[in-house]
Amino acid sequence: MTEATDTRPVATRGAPQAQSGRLALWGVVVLLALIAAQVYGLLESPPDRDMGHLQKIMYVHVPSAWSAFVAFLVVFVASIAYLWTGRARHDLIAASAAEVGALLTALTLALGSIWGRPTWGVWWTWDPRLTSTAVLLVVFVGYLALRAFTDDFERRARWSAVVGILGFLNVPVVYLSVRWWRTIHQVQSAPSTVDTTFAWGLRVNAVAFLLLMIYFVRERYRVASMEHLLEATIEERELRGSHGV
Amino acid sequence: MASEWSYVVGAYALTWVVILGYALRLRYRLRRAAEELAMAQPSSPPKREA
Repeated sequence: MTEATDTRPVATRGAPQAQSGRLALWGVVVLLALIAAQVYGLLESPPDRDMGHLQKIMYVHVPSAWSAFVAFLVVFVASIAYLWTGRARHDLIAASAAEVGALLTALTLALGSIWGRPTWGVWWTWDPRLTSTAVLLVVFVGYLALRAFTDDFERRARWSAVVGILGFLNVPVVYLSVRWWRTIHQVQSAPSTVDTTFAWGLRVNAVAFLLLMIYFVRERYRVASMEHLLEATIEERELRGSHGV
Repeated sequence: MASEWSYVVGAYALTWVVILGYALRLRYRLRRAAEELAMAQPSSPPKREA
């Protein structure tokens, strides 16, 4: 790491109360968007010809997966930015997005499993799409475990950035796995291949999940900033104590 | 065998448990971090000696 590395505590922008108020409002907007999108999807879409009402699980399964991919893209970009600039802020953004991405990936797998039981007859199978998604989850759970491994900020941030960048490389593999290998998971649908009602249900839920993901990352980033400031405050106090100031 | 709707309801219930659970967890962590930070920081600036 160069001397230019900036590990100073991340300053909180604006008045904390005003920021908290804005995020609370954002949370209410996200909540309403999710409820509206799910009600629309559940009530408007007719039973699918092959899947029947099980098709409605797609409105939470697919947006959850897409939002996780976007979260991992944030990890990728923020990790490169950290290695490039050494700013603590980038590391904290990456860590926040990684946690939210891992959560959404776990939810995606669980929802897929609930859909798979009545459709394929099994809760789980070692299909390329399922397996590559499980690997993605394991990599980012490892990323989070790695962060708890060391107290040294620079080392933790550098290692995490490398894992975050390498971990993201699995996202295109997950996405294209249904085309590259023989799989029982269906290939990606396009607006031209599904009925408009289903497509709109998916679109509105995708937007709602994207808003949710952004809200979670921002909230998690606030927690991470405070914890980082706390670490720095304690370190500074110990340093002053050791020098008898 | 369970009906289609039981799987649908189960999937949506799980989604909301995860969403609300994580939101509450973040709220708790935020409050705890703010409290710890307030305790760690000096309550008033040090007085200057005359």
